[in-house]
Amino acid sequence: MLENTGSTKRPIVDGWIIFYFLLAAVGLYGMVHVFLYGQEASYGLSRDIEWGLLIIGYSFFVGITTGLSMWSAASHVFGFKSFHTMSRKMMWLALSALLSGFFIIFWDLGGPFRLQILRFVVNIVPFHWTSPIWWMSVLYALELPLIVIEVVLLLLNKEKYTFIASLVGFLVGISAYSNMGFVFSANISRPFWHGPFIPLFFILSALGLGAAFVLILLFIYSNKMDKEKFVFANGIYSKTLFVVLLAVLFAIIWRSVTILYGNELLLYPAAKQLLAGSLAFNFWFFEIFIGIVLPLIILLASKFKSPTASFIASIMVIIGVFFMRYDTVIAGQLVAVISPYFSQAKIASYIPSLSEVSLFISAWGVMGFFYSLGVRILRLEEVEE
Amino acid sequence: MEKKKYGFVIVLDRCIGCMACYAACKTEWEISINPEYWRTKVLNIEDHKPDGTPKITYLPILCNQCSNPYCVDVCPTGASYKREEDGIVLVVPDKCIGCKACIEACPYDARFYDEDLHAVNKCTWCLPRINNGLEPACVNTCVGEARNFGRLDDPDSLVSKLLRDAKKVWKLKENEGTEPNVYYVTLNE
Repeated sequence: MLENTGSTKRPIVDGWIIFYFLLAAVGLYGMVHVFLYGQEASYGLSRDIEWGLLIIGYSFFVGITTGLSMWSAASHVFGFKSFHTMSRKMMWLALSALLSGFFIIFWDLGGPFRLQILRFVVNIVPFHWTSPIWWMSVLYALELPLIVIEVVLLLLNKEKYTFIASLVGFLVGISAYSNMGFVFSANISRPFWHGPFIPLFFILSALGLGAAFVLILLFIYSNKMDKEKFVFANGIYSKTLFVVLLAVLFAIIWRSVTILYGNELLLYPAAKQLLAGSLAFNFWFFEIFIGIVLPLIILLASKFKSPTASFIASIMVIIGVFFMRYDTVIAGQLVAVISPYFSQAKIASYIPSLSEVSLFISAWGVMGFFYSLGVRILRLEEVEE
Repeated sequence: MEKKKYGFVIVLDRCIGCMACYAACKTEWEISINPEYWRTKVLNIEDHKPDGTPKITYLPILCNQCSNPYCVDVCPTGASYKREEDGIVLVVPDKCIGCKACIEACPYDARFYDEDLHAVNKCTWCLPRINNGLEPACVNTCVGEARNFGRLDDPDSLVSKLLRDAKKVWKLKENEGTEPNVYYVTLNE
């Protein structure tokens, strides 16, 4: 994960930077594959499943940004001083995750060989108000400079302006990410996605993702922090993560029960795939056991006091939230839309290709690389106000 | 307001599942041999009669040129649009970013991402052909005259007559609010 470095005296290029660079370089496999053979041959997508690991990765990485931004804003905007810790590192990590999200979506949209994304830039006007992706793109295009401004203001210790930037950042961030949920939930053709659940669930699980990353940052920088402050912050975020996980579990249970109870065409077979079909291991093992149940037990057993326990629980939550994204996006597409014409649902399948996996790993490298570069070049250590 | 109201009428009891429409379409539009690349095809629906004997129904599917097309609504660049003069939904390849939102939005599986085109591809009811007074390629080649195309706003057109004479008329997924313009009919009891 992220490395322990609080000192600005360390060289810019060291083992961690090289590690993240190499991790980012793993993506070269996918990049070269796309260049040589095109997207169709490189990604494991099909006519039935057009949104795969890269879209999932995008929704995951920008979820980290949203989660961290929301917890950072909680202290600046709403005055929850309990959450006020390591804002600089949190926002820098949020920025790194956002860049990583942009990196992965860039590759989903053809990468540099086609630059199809430019077609959006030149066609942004006239505004396409009815398009969730238009809104999402515009909101994320706004969020990037806003987070940069927030980081700069935090570095300059301009608390008053940080408040304003955090407030705007919070509003844009929560709009952007819930809107990303709407990109899925707007589809009436995909009943598993359609409805208000996904935007709400994305925001809820992003809170868990944000809290988990803060706990990891706390664990890494524990020896650089005032002990009393560290114990307090670790306790607050551990309890917060616990409550968020309970809420996530609650949402998943009622969502699943509602779908199964309805036995609706297209919807029920998708839930069946998730609970007892091709996604069942992902769901029960990664989402529920690793992502929710085990972290809840670990946090409770540690009485929210053990940094190591919170660190382990956080890593589990991050894995769990990734699989929540994966399962939600894939389950929504598994049942072919032409299924109602048949007596039985037509079930598609999806396995990410090596190219997609390499680009997803690469996105982790991009995030780690930018973050590590920031902690070496910028003054991200907190100062007493 | 559409100046011309085009429609497709598919006589289901005439379709023999020969797939000539599929082949004609692929040839007309030079679509890749990739089996996932198609603008129209015929589904083989296996079922059983009430007495238990197996039966097969051939269901031709294509773009419904919906009057309320979600695929157009979700497009972030305006690449997908609905022509005012005849209601046909088109994609401008140079504007398509390949986000595939329209593919996800379509309840009829009428769209696909065409690697050769670097854009989403779909049935246009052979717009260049109909502009030149010809029938769509699939209609032209249909051996059983199961596929019929024409103006719904002309009471003397073949499609209007078929709709009048049909024993049963329905559209696919009528309750999804898309207002499709492909009609399925049976002429026999």
